[in-house]
Amino acid sequence: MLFALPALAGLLMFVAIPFLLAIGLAFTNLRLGSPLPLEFVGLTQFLRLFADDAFARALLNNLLFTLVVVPVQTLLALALALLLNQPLKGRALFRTLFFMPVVFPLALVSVVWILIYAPGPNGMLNSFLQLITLGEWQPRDFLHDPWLALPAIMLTSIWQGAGFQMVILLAGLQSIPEELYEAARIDGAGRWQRFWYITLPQLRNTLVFVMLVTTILAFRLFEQVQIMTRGGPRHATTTIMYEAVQAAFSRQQVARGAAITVIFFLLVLLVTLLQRRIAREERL
Amino acid sequence: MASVTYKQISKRFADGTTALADFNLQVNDGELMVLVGPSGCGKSTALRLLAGLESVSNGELLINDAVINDLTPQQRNIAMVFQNYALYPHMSVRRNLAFPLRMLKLPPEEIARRIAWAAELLQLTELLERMPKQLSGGQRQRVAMGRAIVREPRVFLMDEPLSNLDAKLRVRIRTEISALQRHLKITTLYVTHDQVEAMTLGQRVAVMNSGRLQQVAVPQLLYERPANIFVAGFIGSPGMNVFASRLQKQASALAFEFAGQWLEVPRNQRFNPEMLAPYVDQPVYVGLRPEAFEPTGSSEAQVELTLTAVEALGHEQLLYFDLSQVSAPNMIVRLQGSSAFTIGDKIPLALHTTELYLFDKMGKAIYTRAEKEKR
Ligand SMILES: Nc1ncnc2c1ncn2[C@@H]1O[C@H](COP(=O)(O)OP(=O)(O)OP(=O)(O)O)[C@@H](O)[C@H]1O
Ligand SMILES: [Mg+2]
Repeated sequence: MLFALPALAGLLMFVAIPFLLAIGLAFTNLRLGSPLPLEFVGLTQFLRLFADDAFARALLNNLLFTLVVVPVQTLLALALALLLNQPLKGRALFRTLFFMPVVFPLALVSVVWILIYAPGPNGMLNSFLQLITLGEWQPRDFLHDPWLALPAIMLTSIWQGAGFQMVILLAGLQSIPEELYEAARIDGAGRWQRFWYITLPQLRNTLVFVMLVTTILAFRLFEQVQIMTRGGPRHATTTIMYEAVQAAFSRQQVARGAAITVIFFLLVLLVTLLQRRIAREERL
Repeated sequence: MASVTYKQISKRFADGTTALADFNLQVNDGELMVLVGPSGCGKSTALRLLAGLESVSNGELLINDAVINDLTPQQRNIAMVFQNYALYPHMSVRRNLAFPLRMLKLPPEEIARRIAWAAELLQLTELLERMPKQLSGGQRQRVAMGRAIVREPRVFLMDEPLSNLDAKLRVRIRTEISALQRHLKITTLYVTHDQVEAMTLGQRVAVMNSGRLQQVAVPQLLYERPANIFVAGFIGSPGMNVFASRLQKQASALAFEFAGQWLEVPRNQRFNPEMLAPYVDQPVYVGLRPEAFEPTGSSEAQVELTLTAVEALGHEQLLYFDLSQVSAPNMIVRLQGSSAFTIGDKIPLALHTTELYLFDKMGKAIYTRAEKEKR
C-alpha cells in the first residue's frame, strides 16, 4: 500500500483532479476574459450544446466516421494480417512497410495528404483519377467539398491507422496453435471453413480489443480535422474534439469546452462497457 | 474397410533433414499397427504423411491400392488423435464431436445420432455441454477419440495419444483403445515411443530407428527373434545386453567369448551350430537378455562381475555390472524378488546360454533355424 502511494498521488494529481475539475467547470459559466462573475449554471451548458447545430453535426460526423472507419480499417488490417501470416518471401519487409504510417506523426501525415488531395488537375489524386478514367474525371477540391471532405479524412485515417491494427492482429494470428488448423484440415474443413471456425473465434478477443481502441481513437478525431479542413466546409468535418478545442481555446468558453469533454468521456465509457460485455461472453 | 501401404516412402524436409528413408509398410484392413521407436525416428512424420499434413518426397502412399499422394487431408477420410488432443477450445464437447460431421454436410438428425452413439461408447454423454477447458486429461483424450470415430473414417491415426496421462490412466485407456479398435475394426496406426505400450496394444508392431524400418512382426516374435541389435536392445524392459565377441571352434563344440571366458554356443530352436561355420573366427556380437543371468554359489558360476548399482522396483531388481556393452556402459541383470547385495562386491553369476543371441558384424541377427510356425 505504502509503495503504491507515489503512483496514487500521481494518478490523483494528473488524472483525477483535472478530470473532476472539468466536470465541475462544465456546470459553470466560466469564460476567460469575461466580465461576468463565475456562477453555477446547472445544465445550461449541456442544454445549449444540444441546441447547437455545429455540435449536433460534430456528433453525427463522429458517428459516421466511427461507423465507416472502424469496420473498414479492421477488415483491411485483418486482410493484411492474414496475407502477411503466410510464409511468403519478403514478409518482414512488407510488415515494416505497412506499419510505417503508424510511426509518422499525424501532423506530417495530414500535410502529405493535403498535397495528395490538392485541388485542380495537378493535384495528385485528381491527376491519378483522371489517368485511370482516361480523362473522364472532373477535378475536385476534395477538402472543400461538403460531400467529399469527411470521406477524404476517413481515407487518410484508415491509411494511417491500419498498420497498427495489423500488427496486433498478426500477433493474435500467430498465437493460434497450428495443431488446430491441422485437426480442422483432417476433419474435412476447407480454407474458408478453417477461417470461419478456427481463425475468427480464436481471434475474437483480439478483434474486439482492436475495434475498441479504434473506436476510441475515432471519437477522439482531431488532428486531421484541425490541419486539413479546420472543421469546414460549413461544419462538414467538425468533430466533438474539434468543437471542444474551438470552444476552449479559440473562443475562451472554458465551461463549454469542459461540458463537451464530459460528454466525450461518457461516450467512451459507454463504448468500453459495451466491449467488455461482448468480450466476456465465451471467454476462452 | 481399408488397407494402407507405404511404398518406398522417403521424406526430406526443406532444411535437409531426412525423416524417413525407403520406408515400406503394409497395414492390413482392420489391423492395429503400432509404430514404435526412439524420439526423432520419424514416427510422427509417417503418420503426418498419411494424413496429408506433409507431402511425400518420394514413393507412393496407397489406401486400398489407390495412390493417395496428391489428395488433400479433406479428401482422404482419415481421422487423427493428436498428442495434445487439439480439441477446438472455443467449442463445447458436442460441437467438437459435431465438427467433422458438419464438414461432411450430414443432416442434423444424422449428426445427432452419431454424437449420441460416440458419446455413449466413450462415456461422454454427461460431458457434452462442457468446454474442453473444463475437462480432465483423460476426458479430453476421450473427446479426441470421439471426434475421430464419429465420422467412421477409413483409417484411424493416433500419435502418442496417452503420453499426457498418468501411468494408471494410461494403462486403463490403453485397454479401452484396444477393445474399441477390435469392436470398430477400423484400420489403425498407433504411434508410441513406449515399447511396453507397443507390445501390449499392437496386433503387429513396426520398430523404427532414424527414419528406417527395422522390423515388423507380432509382439512375441519381436521379443523372441529380434531382427537386429537395435530391435534387441529396444524391446524388453530393459532391453537385451549386447557385447562384442568372437566365435571359436573348440574340441567338442563352438564357443563364444564373454567377459574373458569361452562359453559353449547352445544347440536350440535358434541355432544349429554346424551352420555357424561362416562366422567362426570372425567378430560377432552376442546378446543376452537381463533375465538370462542368475547369481549363484561360486562353484556353478561362469563369470564373476563387479556390481556397480542396484535399482529395486519391489517385485524385481535391476543389477548393474561393470562390463561395458556395445552401446551402454553397464551390463544389466534382472532378478525377481529382492535380495541384499553390496555395491562393489564381485558377484558370481550363472548364464542361461540357451538364451543366447548372435549378431553378425553389421548388427543383423543370425538364426540358423527357421522360426516355428505360429498359430
Ligand atoms: N517440419 C520439420 N522440418 C524439419 N525437420 C523436421 C520437421 N518435422 C520433423 N523434423 C525432423 O524429422 C525427424 C523425425 O521427426 P518426427 O517428429 O517424425 O519424430 P518422432 O519419431 O515422432 O519423435 P517423437 O517421439 O519425439 O515425437 C526429426 O529429426 C525431426 O527433427
Ligand atoms: Mg512424434
